[in-house]
Amino acid sequence: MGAAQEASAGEHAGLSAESTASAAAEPHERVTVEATINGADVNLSVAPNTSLLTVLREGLDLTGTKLACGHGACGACTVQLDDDCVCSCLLPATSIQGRAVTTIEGLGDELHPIQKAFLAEDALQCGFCTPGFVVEAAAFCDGWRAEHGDVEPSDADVGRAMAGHLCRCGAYVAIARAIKGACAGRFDGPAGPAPRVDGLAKVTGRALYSGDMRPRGLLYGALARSPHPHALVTGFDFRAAGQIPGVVKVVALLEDGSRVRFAGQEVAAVAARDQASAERAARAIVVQYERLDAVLDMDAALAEGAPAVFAGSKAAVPVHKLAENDDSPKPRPTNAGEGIVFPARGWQGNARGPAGVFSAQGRKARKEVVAARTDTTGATLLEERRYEAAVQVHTALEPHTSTAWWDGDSLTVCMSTQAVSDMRDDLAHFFDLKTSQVTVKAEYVGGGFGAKCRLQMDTVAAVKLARECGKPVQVALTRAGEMVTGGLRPGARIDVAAVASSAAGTLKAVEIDAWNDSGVAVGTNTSLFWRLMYPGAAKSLRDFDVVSHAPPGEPFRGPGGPAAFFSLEGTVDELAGRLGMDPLALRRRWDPNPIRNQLYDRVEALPLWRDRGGGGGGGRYRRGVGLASATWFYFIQNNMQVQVSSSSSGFKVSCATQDMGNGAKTMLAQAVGAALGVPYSEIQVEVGDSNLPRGPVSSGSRTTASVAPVAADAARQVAADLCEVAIERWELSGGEVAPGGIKHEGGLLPWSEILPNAPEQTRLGKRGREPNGWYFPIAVGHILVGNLAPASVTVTEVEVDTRLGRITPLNVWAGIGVGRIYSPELATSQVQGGIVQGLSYALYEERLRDNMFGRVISSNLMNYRIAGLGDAPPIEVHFAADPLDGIAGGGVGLGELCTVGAAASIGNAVAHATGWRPTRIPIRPDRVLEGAGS
Amino acid sequence: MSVVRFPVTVEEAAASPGEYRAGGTDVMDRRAQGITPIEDLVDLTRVPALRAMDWLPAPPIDTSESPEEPPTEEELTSEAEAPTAPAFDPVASGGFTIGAMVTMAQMGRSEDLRTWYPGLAGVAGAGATPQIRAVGTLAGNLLQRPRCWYFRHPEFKCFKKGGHLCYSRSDDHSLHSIFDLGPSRAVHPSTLAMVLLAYDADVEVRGGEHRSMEAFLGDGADPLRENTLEDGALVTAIVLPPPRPAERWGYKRAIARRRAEWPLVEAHVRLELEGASIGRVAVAAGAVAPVPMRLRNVEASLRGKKATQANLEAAANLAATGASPLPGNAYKVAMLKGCVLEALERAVGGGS
Repeated sequence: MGAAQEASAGEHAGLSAESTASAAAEPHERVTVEATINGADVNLSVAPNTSLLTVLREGLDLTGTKLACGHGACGACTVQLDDDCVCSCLLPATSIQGRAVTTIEGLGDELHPIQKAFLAEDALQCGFCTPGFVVEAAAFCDGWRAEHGDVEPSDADVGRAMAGHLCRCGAYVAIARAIKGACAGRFDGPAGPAPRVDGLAKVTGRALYSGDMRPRGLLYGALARSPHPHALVTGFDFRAAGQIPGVVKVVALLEDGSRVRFAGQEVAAVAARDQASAERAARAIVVQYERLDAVLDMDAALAEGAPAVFAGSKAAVPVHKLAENDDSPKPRPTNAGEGIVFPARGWQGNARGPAGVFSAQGRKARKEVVAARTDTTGATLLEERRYEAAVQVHTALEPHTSTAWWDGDSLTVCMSTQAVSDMRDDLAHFFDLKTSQVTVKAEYVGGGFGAKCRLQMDTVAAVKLARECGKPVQVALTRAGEMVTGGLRPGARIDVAAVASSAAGTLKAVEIDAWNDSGVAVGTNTSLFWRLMYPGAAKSLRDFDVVSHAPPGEPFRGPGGPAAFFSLEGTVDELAGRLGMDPLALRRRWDPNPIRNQLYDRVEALPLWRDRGGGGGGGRYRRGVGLASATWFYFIQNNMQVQVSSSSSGFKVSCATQDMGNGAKTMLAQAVGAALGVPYSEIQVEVGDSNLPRGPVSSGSRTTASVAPVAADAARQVAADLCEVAIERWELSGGEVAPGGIKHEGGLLPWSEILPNAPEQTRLGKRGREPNGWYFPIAVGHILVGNLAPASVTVTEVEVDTRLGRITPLNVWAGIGVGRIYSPELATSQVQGGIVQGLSYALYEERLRDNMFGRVISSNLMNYRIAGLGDAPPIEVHFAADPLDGIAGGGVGLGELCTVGAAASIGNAVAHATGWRPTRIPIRPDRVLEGAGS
Repeated sequence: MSVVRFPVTVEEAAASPGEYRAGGTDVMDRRAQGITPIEDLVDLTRVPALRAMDWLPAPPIDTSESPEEPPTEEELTSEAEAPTAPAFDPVASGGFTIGAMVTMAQMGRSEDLRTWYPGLAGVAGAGATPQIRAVGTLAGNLLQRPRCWYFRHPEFKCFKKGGHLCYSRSDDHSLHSIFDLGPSRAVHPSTLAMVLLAYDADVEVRGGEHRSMEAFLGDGADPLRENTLEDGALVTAIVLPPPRPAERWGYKRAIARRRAEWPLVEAHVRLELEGASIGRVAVAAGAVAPVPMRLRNVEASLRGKKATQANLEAAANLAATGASPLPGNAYKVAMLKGCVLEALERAVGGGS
C-alpha cells in the first residue's frame, strides 16, 4: 500500500495529503507524521486531536483494530508501538512520529504461535476483543520466550500481562491456556485443527463486523440524547451543529411535541465526514424541552402520589416505538423480556402486576406463610428475607453499530444484531417498504447477550441519515451511549417467605413477590423460576414490573434468572442450615429432576465439595464452597429453515441466523457434517444475511434446538438426492447413504468423487414431530416451549478478605445437562463464559444513575467494571453424558442455563465462608465489610 | 480548530501557550468526551530534556576545615592498579531526578529506581495497565484530572467545571472523599502522587523552582485544580531525596477485582527498622481526599515503637482521624485503616 493512496483514503479522518513544514514550537493545524505501519513507510498529515485508532480505521482501512470503550480500559484497540503495546484510542496520532506501528494485520503472513494457540484452544467467542488480545499476547509471548526460554508463565504472569484487556464473552480460561501454551513453545508447528469454523478470521483481524464495513463515501453518525428524564420536546435548533466543519446532515429522531421518558433517550442525529466531527456536532445540537416531573427509581415510582409513567396501558411496544405511541390514548412501555409479556392483573400506579400465572395453590401458600409467622410450636420453619440485585448492562465489546445505505428504493443495513430475519421485517415495517426491498447483514457480531435482538433508534438514525444524505452512514453507539440504550438487565427486589416442616424437612409453601426495576419497560418475570424447581410445595409467585423514567430493560442472557436463583438457592441453603442438613442432601430430597440428580452424584464425589469442611475460620481470609442448582427452558422457534446445498466445491449450509460468538456457525457445520459423515471443518457455512432461508433470533438459547435438526434433515435430503444420482450415473447396485458417501456392493463411493460429477443439489430442511411434545401446545410469538427442563449444578469456592472486603472466586465446577453436545470445545467455552459473566454480575456490575436527572454515571468500563482475565478462576465443565431422549437432535442450547446459577453459587459460598448471608448483588467490598468485616 | 506546538527545549515548552500533552491518556480522553474545552496543545513528546533520569551531584561540602591530605609519595608510586574513579555512592548523592516525560513503564524498569527506590519502582511498574504504563508519563500521572463520574460526565457542570455544586454530596459518593477538605469531594486520581508524598520528593517547576510534594499538592481546598500549579506552569521533573538503603516499603490498594481498577482506598508506607523498633517512617493514603494525604499521626505513633502486630494495628487505627465520611462512603474509614495496616505489615515483612 502506497503512502499517497493511504493519505487520500483518509482525507475525511483528520488526514489530508497536504503536508506542512515542521518547525519547533510553531503552531500547526495539521501535523506531518512519518512512521512505519505494518512494515510500510507512511507519510500522514493529521489533526492535533486525532487518535492513532482513528487514523488506522478511518484513514487506512485497517479495521482489525477495534474501538470498544474509547478510554483505554478494554484493550480492543491495542497495537504495538515499537516494543510496547499501547491503546491506540488514546494515543495521539502525532506520537507515532519516527516509530513503528504493528497492528493485527501486520503480525505476519504466517500465523504467530499465539494465533495458532488461540485457534486451537478456542480462546475466543465473538472475536471482537481478539485482535487486541492477540497483539498484546504476541508481544508478551515473544518477550517472555526471549527472557525465559520456552517456559510456561504462571497464571499471575499472564494476568498481569493481560490486565489491560477485557473480554465480555468471558473466554479467559481458554485465553490464559493459549498464552501459556504458546510461551511454552507448544504452538510453533503448523496450525492444527480449529474447533471454531470462523476462528481463523477472528485471530487474524479479518472478520468484518458491522463497523468494519466501509462502503465508498461512508459518513459517520452520532446521536444527541435528552439530558432530562421526562420532558416534552418543544423545538430543535440545528444551526450550530450544522456549521461544524464536516457536518453533512442533522435530523430529528422525534417529532416536536414528543415526550422523552428517560435521560439519554435519542432525540436527534447527525452525519459528518468523520466520527469526531459527528460527535462534536451532536453535542452542539440544541433541543428545547418543557421539563416534567419524573420518577427516577423504583422507590419514587412506588411512592404515594407518584406521577404515572404509563397509566393503565396493556401491552408493550417495540423499543424504537417508545416515543411514537404518545398519540394513542394509552402510551405503552417496551418489552423487557425475550418473548411475549405475560398477562398481569393490571396496574397499581407505576407497578404493573401482579403477574401470577405461575403460581400453584397461591392462596394456600400465602395462608401457610401467615400461619408460620405466628407458629409458636416450632412445627414450621419460616425463612423470610429480601434479596436485591442492581441493574446490569450488557455492554458487549462491539457497540450497537449499523452501516446503512440505499440503492434506489432498496435498503441494506449491516447491523450488529442477533436477529437478521426479524430486523429485515422490522425495518421494512418502520420505513414502509416491502421485505424484499430490505437486506440485513451480520456476518460477524461482537457479542449480544440479548441486547441486540431489537430494532433501536441508532439503526433508525443510520437509515434516516443515509436516505437524507444519499450516502452510506454508519452509526455506532459510544460506550457511554451503550450504557444507556445498549441494553440492561432490570434490577430486582425479591421478597421471599418460605415455609418448611421442621419434622419432615419438606418444603411446604413459598410466597415470592418480585419487583422488577425495568425503566420504561415491562415483561420481566423473576418469580417463575421458583415454579420450575422443587415441586410439591404451594407457591404464590407474583411479579411486578415497576416503571420509572429510566432506560428500558431488555432481555439479558437468562432474563430474570440470576437474581431468581440467587434468592431461591440462598433460601434453600438457609433452610438446610436451620434443618441441620447438608445443602446437597436437602436438594436431593426436594429435587426429583433426574439430570440434576445425576449431577448431584458427581458433586458428591468432587474433592472441591467433599473437602469443603465447615467453612469460615476466624482469620482474615475465609474460604467457603457454595452450590446452586438451576434450570432453564428449552425453546424452539418454529418454522425455521435451513438450506443445505452440494456443489463441486463441497457442501454448504445456509441460514439467516447469526453467530454472535455463541458458535452457531460451528454448530450448523457439526449438525450437517454429522449427518453426512464429513468433517465439519469441510462444511461451508453461510449465515448473517436476511436473504438466506429464515433463521431464528439468537435469544432464549433456542438456536441449536431450532435449527440443528432442520439442518441435519436438509443434509439427509441432499444426501438422498446424491445417492439417486450416483446410483444412476455409476450404475451402483445396493447403493445407500453412508457416512462419508454412498455405500454400495463394491464399497464406498466418497462424496469427494460424487460432488464434482453430480449436478448441484439444494434442499430445505424440515423439522419432524417433536417426540416429547411441547410444554404449551401452541407457539406463542413463534416460540414453542419444550416439554423438558435442562438442568445445571454450579459449585464455587471463594476466598473472602474480611479486612478489605474482596471476594475472590478460586474454583468453579459447572455441571450441565442439555443432552447431546454438538461441539464440546465450543460448548465448554460458552459455559466458562457464562460462569465468568455470572460472577462478574455477582461481584462487580452495577449500573448507576444520578438522583437529580437519572443520568447514567457508571458510563464507561472504568467505573462500570466487568470481570478481567485475572478474576476468572479455573472452571471445570462437566456435561451430563446422556442425550436427551425425546428431543429432536438429542440436545438443546445452554447459553443461558450455564450463567443463571453462578451468582447463586457465589452467594452460598460467601455464606459458607463467613456465616453472613449476602442478599444484595453486586456483593461489593463495602457490603462484605458491613456484613462480615473483621 | 485547535493548534498544536511541538517544542524541543524546556524553554520553548514553558513559553508555549496551551494545554500540555504528554502521553495523552487523559487529555485525549477528556477532549473526545467533551469534558474540558479544546484549547491549543503543547505536545511535550519531542523535548528530550524531559525524558532524563539521573543522579544528582552531592551538594558541595565545605572543605575548609579538614583539607584533604596530599597523597604520600608511597601512594603515588605504589604498584596498585591504575587509579579508578571512586565507586559512585547513591546514598551520598544529591538524590535522583526523574524527567516529567519518563513513562511509568520506564520507571518500573529502571535499575536505579528498582535498587534504590523500590517502593516507587514497584508501584509505577504495576499501576494502571501495561498499555497505559507504556505511554503514561510521570508528570501526566500527577496532573491527570480526577476520575469522579460527575466530572467525567459532559452533562454535569460541577465545581471542577466552573459550576456551583458537588453532585456527590447529595448523590452517589461511594468513590468520593472521606476527608472534607474543600467544596469538591472528588478524590485525587494519582497513585504516584501519594507515593512521592511518602518519599518527600520535590517537584521541579519550569526547570528551576523546587516545590515539595506537599506544597505542590496543596490543601485540596480549590475545586478547580488538584495541585498548586499556576496556569501555564510546566512540571519538568521530580527530585527524590538521596536513597535510604535500609528502607522497606509496602503498598496496598483495595479494589473489588484482582487488577486494573481505580482504588477504593490505597496506602503507601516507607519505614526503617532499628533493631526491632521502627525508625524513620512515612505513611500516605490515597483515594480518601481531594489530595493524597500524609498520615502524620500514624507515623508519630509508630516512631520508636516495636514493630509488633499490636503496635501496627494501633497506629493503623489512627489513619482516619479527622475523617468526616458521607453516608455512602463510611466504609472507607474501615478500609483506610485496613489498607494502612496491610501496607505496614508488608513493609515490616520485607517489602512489596
